[in-house]
Amino acid sequence: MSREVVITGYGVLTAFGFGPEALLDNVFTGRPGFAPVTRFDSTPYHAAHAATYGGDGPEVPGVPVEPGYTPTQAEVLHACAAEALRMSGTDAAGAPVLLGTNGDHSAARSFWTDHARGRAPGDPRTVDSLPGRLPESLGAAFGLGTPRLAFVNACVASTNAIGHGAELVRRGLADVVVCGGAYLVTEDVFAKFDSGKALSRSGAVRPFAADRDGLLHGDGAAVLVLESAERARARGAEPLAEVAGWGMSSDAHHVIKPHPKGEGLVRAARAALRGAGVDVERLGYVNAHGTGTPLNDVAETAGLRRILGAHAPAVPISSTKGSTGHMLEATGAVEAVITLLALREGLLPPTTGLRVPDPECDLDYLPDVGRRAPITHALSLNAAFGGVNAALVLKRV
Amino acid sequence: MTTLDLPRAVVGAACLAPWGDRARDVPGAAPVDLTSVPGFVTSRFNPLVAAVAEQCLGAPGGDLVRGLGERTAIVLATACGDTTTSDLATRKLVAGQVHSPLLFFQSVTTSILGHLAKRYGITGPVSCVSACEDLAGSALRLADLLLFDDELEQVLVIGVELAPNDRVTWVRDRLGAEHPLGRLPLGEDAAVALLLRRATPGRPAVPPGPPHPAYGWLGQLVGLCTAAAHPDTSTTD
Repeated sequence: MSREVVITGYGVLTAFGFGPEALLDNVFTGRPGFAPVTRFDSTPYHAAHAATYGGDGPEVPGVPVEPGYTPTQAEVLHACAAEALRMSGTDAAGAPVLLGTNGDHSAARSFWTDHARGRAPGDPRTVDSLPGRLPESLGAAFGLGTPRLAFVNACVASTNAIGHGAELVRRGLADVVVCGGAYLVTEDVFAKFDSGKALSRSGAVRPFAADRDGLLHGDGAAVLVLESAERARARGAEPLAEVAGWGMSSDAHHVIKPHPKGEGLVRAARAALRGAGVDVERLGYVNAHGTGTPLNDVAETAGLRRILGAHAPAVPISSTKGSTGHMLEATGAVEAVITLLALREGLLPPTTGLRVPDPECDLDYLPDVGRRAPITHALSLNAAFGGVNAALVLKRV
Repeated sequence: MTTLDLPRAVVGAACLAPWGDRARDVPGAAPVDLTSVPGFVTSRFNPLVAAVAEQCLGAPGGDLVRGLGERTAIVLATACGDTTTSDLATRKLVAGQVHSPLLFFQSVTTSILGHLAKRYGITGPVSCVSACEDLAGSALRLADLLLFDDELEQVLVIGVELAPNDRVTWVRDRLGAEHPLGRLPLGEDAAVALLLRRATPGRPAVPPGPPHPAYGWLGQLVGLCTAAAHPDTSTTD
């Protein structure tokens, strides 16, 4: 059995706030979301910036906006799921829950602080430090089904969740799936990336630019409702886009460095295009991983040249991390929503911060300004430590 | 959700944990000193993954993966992940100490899988999953779905769990004995690896063996290991 899989609802959060308007008003207009971090003291670190949600822009329903209050992953996931289900017009009863999340580590911090001070740990949110708790609590809150899985494969986690969800629907194993991911900036993860010298010290992310100096983290969460086109049509729901294909691969190259020629990215993208039955000539846009790190962007460019072949110079490509920051486990889900908006609005988001192109990154990277273009198919790419790659092909419906 | 009715064959199996006599029917189970993995120094999690995979697949270049790297996928399942590394990082922060760059990549589960993929030339899909409930079943069903793809020949399923530390113990106590997270392995680090293929007339399906209850959610994978190694007997703890 092979069924058409469509997206019928989504909820999304970035540093710019909740919902699609926050993305259209900021990511699609080339606005960077970075500011000095106030969520924790950044003075011990080389880097000082991140793109965090601080209450500016559309508010997240049910999440307090108070000075000093940091939302939890559970709160933002619940808000995104509620919006996705409202937009979809289904209760998704019994649907599997698949989320890219590595757990909420702000809660782990709270536990070990109590531990170090000889106090009995008292923060009930500590339970959400285990990844599986987040899909479990989301499933329980909305009456969803099983499995309730967390994908913990780092920066491809929520792309993997969406791809797996699409496969369940495509194969007829589920009629509807709730999937997505979440990451909120925490000091633990910030400190790790800082020690690895991966973070930009200039306070800006400039994907594919000659002066790029690393990535910065960003808050992000997105939940999507996937269902069979047949089910959506039968209940009169409006499909927003089709998940036409997806693919994953491993570089078999290095524990942290990407393959310099984008070998694994090519395989993942080709699998996604093959699954979608789409020739590269029909691709109107690529949402690149584009972290703004020296190694990724050159390797990804090499991979994109091979994926797109002779068509490469003609395909508009952008990395939206120059606006949103890198949302780690959430990045694939949020970028899938951005790609969906590009399809529906006929508007391609720019690579924010790209002003001085790297000669080795010489494709049409939409520097700093978006572009109007009616497109029918788009590719979204992500990659993670260990050389793990994931690709999604979305189609306008 | 419905599930695939895909008979699966087990062509490689290994368990690693210092289980003593209880492990006598489990292939590969024995007290082991883990071989260190360059760059992964803080925790037993990553060496455990590398060791159980090697025990299952054999040395790189062996028959099970040679020529099949592109057609091999990996699914890693863990309820709590590398708690040693992630909590060490957090405790260092609480103590006002600066992070070691090694913690940067060690705590990311895909890093050790990148090491494995390179050693064995595995270039297929790599998924890592976690859940409070039915994690082993979910990982096996994910593998079944991957095997449904004609372009894949086999899936290496790895289940791994470290002995619960203070945080995990607190969470488990907080959730209560009836919560499925209570089904963590008791007291020891443990890992299981299974190399699964579609069953064929010449490669019979392996029915699930009785789970080993002492090993929590990993017990279901241990049971499959045991059933693969001893198809005519059933072993319980």
